[in-house]
Amino acid sequence: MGRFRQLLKTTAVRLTLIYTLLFGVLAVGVVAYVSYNTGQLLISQIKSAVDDEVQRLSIITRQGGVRRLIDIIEQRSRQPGANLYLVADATGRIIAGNVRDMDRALLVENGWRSPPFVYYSFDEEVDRPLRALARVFTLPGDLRLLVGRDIGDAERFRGVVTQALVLALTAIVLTGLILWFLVGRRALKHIDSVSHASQRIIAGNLDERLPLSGSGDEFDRLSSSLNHLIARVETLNRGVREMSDNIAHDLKTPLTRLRGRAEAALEGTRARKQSEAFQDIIDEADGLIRTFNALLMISQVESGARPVELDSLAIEPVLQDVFELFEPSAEEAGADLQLEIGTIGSIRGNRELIAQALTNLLDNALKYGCGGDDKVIAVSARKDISHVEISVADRGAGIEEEERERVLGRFVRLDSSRTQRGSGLGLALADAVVKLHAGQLFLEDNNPGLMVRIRLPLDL
Amino acid sequence: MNILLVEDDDALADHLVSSLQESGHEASRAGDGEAGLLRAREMAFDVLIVDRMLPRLDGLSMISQLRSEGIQTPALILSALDQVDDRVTGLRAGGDDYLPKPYAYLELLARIEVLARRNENAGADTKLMVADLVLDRISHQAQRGGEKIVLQPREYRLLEYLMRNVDKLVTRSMLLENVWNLHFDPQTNVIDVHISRLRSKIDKGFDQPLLHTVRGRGYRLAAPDGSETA
Repeated sequence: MGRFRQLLKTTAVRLTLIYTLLFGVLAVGVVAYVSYNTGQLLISQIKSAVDDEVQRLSIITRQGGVRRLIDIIEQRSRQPGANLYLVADATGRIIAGNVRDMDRALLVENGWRSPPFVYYSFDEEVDRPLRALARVFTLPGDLRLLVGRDIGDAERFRGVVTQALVLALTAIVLTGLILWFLVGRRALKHIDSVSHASQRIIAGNLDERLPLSGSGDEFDRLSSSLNHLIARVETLNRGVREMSDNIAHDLKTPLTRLRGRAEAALEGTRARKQSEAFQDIIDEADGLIRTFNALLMISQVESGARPVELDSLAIEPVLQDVFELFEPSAEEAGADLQLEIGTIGSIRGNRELIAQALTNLLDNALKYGCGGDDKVIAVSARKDISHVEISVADRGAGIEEEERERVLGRFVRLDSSRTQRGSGLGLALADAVVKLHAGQLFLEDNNPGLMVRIRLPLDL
Repeated sequence: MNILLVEDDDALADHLVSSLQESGHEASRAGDGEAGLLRAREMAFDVLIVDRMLPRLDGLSMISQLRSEGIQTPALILSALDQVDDRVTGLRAGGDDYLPKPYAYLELLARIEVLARRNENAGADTKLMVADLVLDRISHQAQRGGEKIVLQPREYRLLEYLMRNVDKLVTRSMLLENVWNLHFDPQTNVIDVHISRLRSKIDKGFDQPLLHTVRGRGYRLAAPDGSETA
């Protein structure tokens, strides 16, 4: 019963009911229209047949008089399938014809008797009232003549047509109902399975996906979009979990250092030592704040919750600024920092974010790519039809292919880089910034070394 | 300096007001945006420090209101929001500088001192002088003790900024913002290298260094004691 009531609530069933009601009303209208028109058509046929007969009889009367007319009527009355004839005198006594009895009052006036009236025939087999249409005339000698036609056949024909129509329409309505019902039940079943799967997903099983019937219908398309949504949620969720694990792990180290320095400050006896320790504590705290700021920035950029304003941004000056910022540092590190800029256009971008991403890439190249003898950092920028491409390539140790995807994550630091100070957020931030600008960041082999290549769509 | 702090957090405001007083400034406080607006209208302050999120009237609206009334007191916006383009909205509303929370007190102090000074010498001199160091702002040439110093364009801007803020503490982020127009912390020592290059140009070979490092805080360009500063 519960299931039935549930079925009643479905859109399919509701539509079925509306459909049935509408179709029913239309069907009744069609039947009434057809039936009425059929009736009218038959009546007009009968009337014209009677009129023809009257025409012939009037010719006979003019040629042979009333006596001759009565003879002819007697003759015709006996033919099978004949018209109705009746000749009566003024008192209503039947003189000739094939009508056994009828309401004599109908004979008083001339003209068509309509609506159809009731009469009785001489036919022994049909001793029941019959219905007919007829015309009445006054003949010389105060005789009354009635010429008409039985309408039984016509009415039966009309009945058959009406019945056939009613049957056909009922069949259509019933088929419609059954089809709709089946469709509705199928939809309901599908929705049931989807809603059960959703319940399990809500309960926390993010691996689960909504079932697809494989038919590629609207339900499948909807389920498939929702599955993409769930996959996205799953990725974000995993990201959040991994990140909070990483935060916990990676913040422990600076916090431990911070605590150690505070202890040292507490124990330090000489004022100079103490003030140095306090300075270290402030440095550590600043480092933590920077880490949090970077984290917040990445998640802001990634979430897209508050869209950053993007303006038309010429890339070359930004690249020049960042390059120039790093030039002395590179020189001090003994590295050869090279810049090669072709004609490059503008992108739609945020200068701060792009500058920050480029800074991170150059900083990484200096920190991790200049460990060997070949200290060259090549920065280049060019454009193709649709994109600006900027690459930062070093000739250091590079990153193993299987590690490349991973290092874009937050707090991921390769063992080889652990000796350097760093937050493990630089590449993650650069990647997030590039994604925000609808671009792509690739880590590639520079043979030897690492090449970071970013592609940003041109502002056309 | 006479400073108005518009901040709703009592503990933070009390601490900041007493720190500012210890640093030798007059500081008073308003607890919400409307009170801040009234105070800033009726008294001429040197600098306003305005929290972005305030009861009754938020900090940005307060500053826009003041600006629309023609009151140009320099204002530094404090914000805990720290969104990517917060700075832009803050400066658009009429703020003159922007500092995200949590901030270092010395950073705040350095910034308001520069802000107040900017107001007082808005008219630019064509020549800046610190002791025997002279910077010609028209020819972009520098000399010290009569000796010509060749500066790269960026070195010129760096030196100009330091000389305009002579005797003041200038932090790394202030340099990044004003010389490179970059409003983020690059988390590297790139600025230090630029400074040491500049130092080698202006101080090398002279007995009295002018460009000093304030450990953990930033830099200060200052004339040696006893010499005159223009």
